[in-house]
Amino acid sequence: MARAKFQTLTEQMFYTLLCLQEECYGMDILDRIPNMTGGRVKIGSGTLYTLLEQFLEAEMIKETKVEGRRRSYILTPKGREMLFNEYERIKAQMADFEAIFIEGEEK
Amino acid sequence: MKDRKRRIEVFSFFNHTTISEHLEKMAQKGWMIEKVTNFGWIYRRIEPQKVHFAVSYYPKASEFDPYPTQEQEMFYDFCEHTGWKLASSSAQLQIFYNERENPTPIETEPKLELAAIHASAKKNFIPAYVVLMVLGLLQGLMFISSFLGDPIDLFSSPSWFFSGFCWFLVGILCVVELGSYFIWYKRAKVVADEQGELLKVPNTSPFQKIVLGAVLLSALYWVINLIILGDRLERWIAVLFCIYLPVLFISVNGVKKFLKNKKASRRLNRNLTIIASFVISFALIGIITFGTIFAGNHGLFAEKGEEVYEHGGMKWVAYQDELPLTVEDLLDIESDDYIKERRGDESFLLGEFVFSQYPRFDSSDFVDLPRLEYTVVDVKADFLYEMCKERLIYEKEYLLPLEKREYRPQDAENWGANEVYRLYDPEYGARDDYLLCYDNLLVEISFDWEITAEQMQTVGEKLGNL
Repeated sequence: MARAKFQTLTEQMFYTLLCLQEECYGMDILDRIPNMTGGRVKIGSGTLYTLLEQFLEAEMIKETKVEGRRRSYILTPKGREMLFNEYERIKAQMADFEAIFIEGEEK
Repeated sequence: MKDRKRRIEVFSFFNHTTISEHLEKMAQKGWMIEKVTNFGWIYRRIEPQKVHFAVSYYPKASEFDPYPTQEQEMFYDFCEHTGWKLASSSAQLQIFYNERENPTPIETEPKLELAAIHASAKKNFIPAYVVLMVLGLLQGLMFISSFLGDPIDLFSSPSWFFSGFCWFLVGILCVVELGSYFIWYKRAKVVADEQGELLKVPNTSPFQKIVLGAVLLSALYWVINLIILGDRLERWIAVLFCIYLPVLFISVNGVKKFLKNKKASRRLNRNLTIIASFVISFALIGIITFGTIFAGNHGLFAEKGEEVYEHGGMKWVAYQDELPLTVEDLLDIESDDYIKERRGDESFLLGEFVFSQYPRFDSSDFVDLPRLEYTVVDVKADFLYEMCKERLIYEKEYLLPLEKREYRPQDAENWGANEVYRLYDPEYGARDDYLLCYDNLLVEISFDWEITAEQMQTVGEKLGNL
């Protein structure tokens, strides 16, 4: 079920998982994503909270530290696989784009 | 100058956009939401300012929680990190405000937001409204069937009209609320999937306000009817009813609040509150019922100066009400043993009165004295006249279909009426039961004897000019 749910990742899911490639406090992701994307992508606090909960449930991330309400997380192998799958999907999209617009124009 | 004020706010549970917009306007007027309660929303005075509001839904929250769970606090921390401070919460509904100029919204994934709204709605809003809808529609159907089938009972009783009408409105309100929610949810799912946006929630607040206004107007109609036209017993029941609902509501809420203050667990609080609501409800109904019977047996509802006598171990009121037509008007009989009783209900639209003259139970002439009983329907609203007439005819002709009785038109002149019907029985022939139709009055009257032309005139003079 979880796999079907996250078969493709939204931008916010993608960057949340990307942030968790290294151990990170949940709340810090709120700042990291805009910094990482130059402000292009922002994630709402409620959305991030729900995503972390769903990623945990789907075992795509795991908790590393629980200091009261402050918790840190890191990507699991399963989450890493999902992230790479998404990367491959985006790459395939890019390749298709290039085949039509870049290589096509060169010919 | 008051620092706090309470307002009755009428919003759909799921209408986060209208709630946020409303709270923003209130803050601009200098009122910040402080608490959402079952007894209205409480605002505190602030310097008028432009503040952003956001309504978020936290499905795991419950109105029975003694305090926010650690997970919920974590959610608040996340929100606070982006400038969203909790203003108030009520079960799953979480209201935040943000003083920053262009804050990042709390929810940025429409699909997740929609899922949170639906998960929250499934916990409270949907089950509560479904139960109310079923009750409202059942009562509403009874109201409609009374309106069409038995308008006399319905319109002569302000209490029945008021309660039936209110339940009917509640049923309609729930249908509209649930219908608009599910239609919106279905469409919003498609829009969130295809366009990545959250579809705007339909605003049913104006409709809800109209329903609330109609309920208040019908309550006013009920109260004024009882004050002007009601008898002591009806007023007593009305007062008890007015006390019953707030007492039930306040005490059940009190139990919930007390358990919250005592930090009882969610499950314990919910179970005890449900038990308390049943126990208090039945206890109050029991107190009201037995109190009314007890008070009635002790003559509390007897009008001043009424004689109470005892017979067969019970107390009876020897009514001496004014009757428009008496046995003495028709027959040459005089007796002090007669009880003259006038019963009935009356509203501004219609009155139904039963006039009875019968001997006291302790009278030595109890068996021999003739009795007289007739029902007068006073139709004050013209549009009800034909409906009431048809109902009276229907009751005699069709309520006992096996007896195959029928009303046959008679000469109305002697009675001074517009129309007169006499009841015919296939087995016994003509009966001494009549339906007399005057301008605004319908009279059902039965005699123990074949009535003479002179007596018809007397009846017409006495009842036709009421």
